[in-house]
Amino acid sequence: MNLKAIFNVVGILLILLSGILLVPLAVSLFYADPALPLGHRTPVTAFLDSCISSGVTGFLLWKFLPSGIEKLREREGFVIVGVAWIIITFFGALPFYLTGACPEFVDAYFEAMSGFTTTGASILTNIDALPHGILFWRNLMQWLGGMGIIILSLAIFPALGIGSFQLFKAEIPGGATVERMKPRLAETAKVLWKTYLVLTLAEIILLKAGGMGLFDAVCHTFSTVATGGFSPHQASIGHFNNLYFETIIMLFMFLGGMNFALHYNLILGNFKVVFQNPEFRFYVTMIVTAVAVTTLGLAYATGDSLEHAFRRAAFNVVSINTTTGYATDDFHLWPDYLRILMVSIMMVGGCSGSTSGSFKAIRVIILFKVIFCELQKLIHPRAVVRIKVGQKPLPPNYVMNVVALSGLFLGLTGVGFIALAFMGVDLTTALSASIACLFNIGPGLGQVGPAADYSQLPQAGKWILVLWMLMGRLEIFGILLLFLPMTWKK
Amino acid sequence: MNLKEVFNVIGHLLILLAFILLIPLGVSLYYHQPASAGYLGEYQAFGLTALLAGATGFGFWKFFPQGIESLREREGFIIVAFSWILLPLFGALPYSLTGVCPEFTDAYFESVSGFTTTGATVLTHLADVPRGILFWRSMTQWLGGMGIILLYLAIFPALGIGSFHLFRAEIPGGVTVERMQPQLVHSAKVLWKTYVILSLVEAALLWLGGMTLFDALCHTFATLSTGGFSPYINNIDHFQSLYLQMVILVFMFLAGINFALHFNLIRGYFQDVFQNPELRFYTASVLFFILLTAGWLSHAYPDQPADILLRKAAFTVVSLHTTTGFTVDDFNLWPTPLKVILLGLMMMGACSGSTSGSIKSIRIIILFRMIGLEIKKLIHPQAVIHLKVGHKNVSPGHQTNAVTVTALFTAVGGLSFVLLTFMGLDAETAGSATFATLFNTGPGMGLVGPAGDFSVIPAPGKWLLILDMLMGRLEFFSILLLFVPVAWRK
Repeated sequence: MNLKAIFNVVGILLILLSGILLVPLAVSLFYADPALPLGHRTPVTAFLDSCISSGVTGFLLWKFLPSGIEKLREREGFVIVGVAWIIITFFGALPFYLTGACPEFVDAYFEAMSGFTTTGASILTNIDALPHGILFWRNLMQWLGGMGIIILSLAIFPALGIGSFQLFKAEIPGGATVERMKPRLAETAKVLWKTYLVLTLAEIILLKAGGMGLFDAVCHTFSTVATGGFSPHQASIGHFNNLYFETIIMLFMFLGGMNFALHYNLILGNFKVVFQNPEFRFYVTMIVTAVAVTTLGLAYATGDSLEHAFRRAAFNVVSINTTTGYATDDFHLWPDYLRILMVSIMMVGGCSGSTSGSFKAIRVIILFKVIFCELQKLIHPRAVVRIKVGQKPLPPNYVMNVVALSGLFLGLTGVGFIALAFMGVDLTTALSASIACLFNIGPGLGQVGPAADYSQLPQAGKWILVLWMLMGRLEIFGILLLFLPMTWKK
Repeated sequence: MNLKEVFNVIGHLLILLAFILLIPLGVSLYYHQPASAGYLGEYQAFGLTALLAGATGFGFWKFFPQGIESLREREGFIIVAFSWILLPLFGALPYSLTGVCPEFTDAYFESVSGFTTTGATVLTHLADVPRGILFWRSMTQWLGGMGIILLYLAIFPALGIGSFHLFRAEIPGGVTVERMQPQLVHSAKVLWKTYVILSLVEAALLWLGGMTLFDALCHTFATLSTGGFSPYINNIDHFQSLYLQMVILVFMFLAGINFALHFNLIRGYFQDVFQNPELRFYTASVLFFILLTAGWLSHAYPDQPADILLRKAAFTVVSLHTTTGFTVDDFNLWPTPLKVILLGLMMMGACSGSTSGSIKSIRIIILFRMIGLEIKKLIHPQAVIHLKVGHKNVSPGHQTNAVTVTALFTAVGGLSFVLLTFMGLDAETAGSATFATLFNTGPGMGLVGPAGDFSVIPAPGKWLLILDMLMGRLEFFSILLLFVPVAWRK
């Protein structure tokens, strides 16, 4: 393992991070944020300190360790991404800790990890009282993490020569299932980030046009297109109680859950490619079905008018399915079967190559196909059946990868569940917290439901969930590799 | 689909059932208990059922053409599915005719629960049930454990329904079970012989330990088939004897082992047995969970003596791991995280080729290996690695089988859970009822825990659970094929 080269890359990323930290610094200056009662520093100095420490560390790593990225092997790709995410989150957590927004470091790290992994699980209890700079940084982290900070650096600094497809594969949600759009990696990264920027600007403008304040519009946009789910308001989107905002945000959550290669095709005018995409079709069908069931269920259970039930159902289903985690309603209070339905669609998630977390629609399609293929083989034992998605046959390797990953997702859900329950957390909370973090959703049920937060969990439980969020975002293998001795062999 | 030939085979099986029904008829004549008002007496009910099964069977056998030689794989599955739906139907008649279960749904539920060796009961007042019925109840488990088709193959090899497809479709573990003898009939004979020998040994040991002959037989039937019906409402706790509990525990464990291994033991091939990877995994897992449970219980109940807790832990873990479902303690009252672990145990099940239900250890091993292999491939992308269990390569067919069965267990379990909560059951009851029936264990938690029974489930829920039990016992494919149009094409 080429450790020195790895830290060299991490150095570059830290320099990038320190540049990015100037943005919330400016926001803090602009709003002249006051210091918090428990804080050691004012938000401005906190951001400045984080910015400097990250920049200096990055510069040292970059300057004094040899670069050797050209010779990256697959495993080093995974290790770089894993290590980079752990370290970047550390520096990202500093502002929360230094300002006293999270007096415990574990809380600060939890919040930052929840940000970068676009989970949206929060341990903050009184969000409205926090300084603007902190709130802005929380949402900016989600925006960065959604498309991936390494992919951002590939897009901005193609010349720095950290252009390795291994890194790309290890960071983008959907991993090996995502196709390269352009022959050159830097081009692909650029296209992805450009599309992301266009969507972001469009949403900001639409929200602003509807009368939302600029600060709120920007913050919500960041966490919408990243399918993150942080909101600068305690009541999340329910704060506004505005149909127009809900519709716009819902639309952009939906777009955030789509493969960004499809957006690019839409912009290029290749509509046919988009509508024939099997994953996209599955994604749309799933959302439409779940919204229909939930609307009827809510109307029946609460005696709500169909129209109002539809509004609640549509927003919350889209939010959960794309793993955003915004809420306009406390779905913890819905009938049992709807709650289970919500948890199940959480576990499916959006499309590969989108910013959504979770298992991803394409993998669910592949699993279904495997089962169906097995049934076909029973009827025609000698037939040679190839598993196809759309028109393309899948390589067997790929199928095994999906299977192994689904096994890991289920297994880790179980482990997290039992570990939390062991620490004395009640069952509903333990199970849903494990799922909500591993699948990068955010709010769960019970004590961590949409109306509550994660602050009540025991400290060890928070560390487990931090690990779960990271594993979920990087699709497990990358992080698992860090713990295997064979990865570290020369 | 050669439906006529399929029914010809089922005719054979029904005639066999008619003869078997003479045994409980004899038991009921011996005890000669009075009939309840408005219903048939016990021996009349058994006589009538035997007559009906015999007549129907004879009709099928005589009037439908024979054509078993030309059976294709799919017909094998359909025969197994139909016979497992029809035989419990006749098996349910005695419950219905004697008034033990006035509702036919309940009678069929009890009968399916028997044949599938689940052990879930709807009978609330076991003490009032006549003895012939109790005997029949346990005996259905014994028949279902090794499989009635296999029994037929063993008794009447000459009648020529010897198709390997039937064998594979009926034996727990499906394709993962190896053929022991070149000739199928020999395999069936060896399996049933071993089964009968083990049964005789256990019955003798229980009888010597002070059980009445009736109790000894009933409990032997339910132990070796890993079924779990007992003539007593408080189950094995009824016998406050360490000796009896230990005998039952040992035989539950033995019933969870591949019967081919028992045969090898009898023949003296010890090495074969002790090097079997599945047996090693199963033993290790049983020991590990006994220690874990005992430790946890002694932590939760410090005032109870350690040896009693160890006994409870050992008995419960073995009972649930083998999916038997006998109880010596109401585990519904144990600490919740421990209950979750127990649910996980039910999912794993024991070895393939045993009488236990569930996913089976071998499939779990294969899944673990697949995950390990994926990780190795990340580190050495170019390496060609074969998936091995023990020293044997696992064929891709077996790999997909392991994946498909596990995925189906998860998906069907989830769906049935949602549907049950939709019918208004609480989440704990609904979830554990699904687990207990789909994995053929028997008692669940909540309302259907060891102290309760399944009579609280609404009628549509019972039909759903009946389907779950059948799918679990036959490992899905037979039952699923019934719903696939392709299977019905000529």
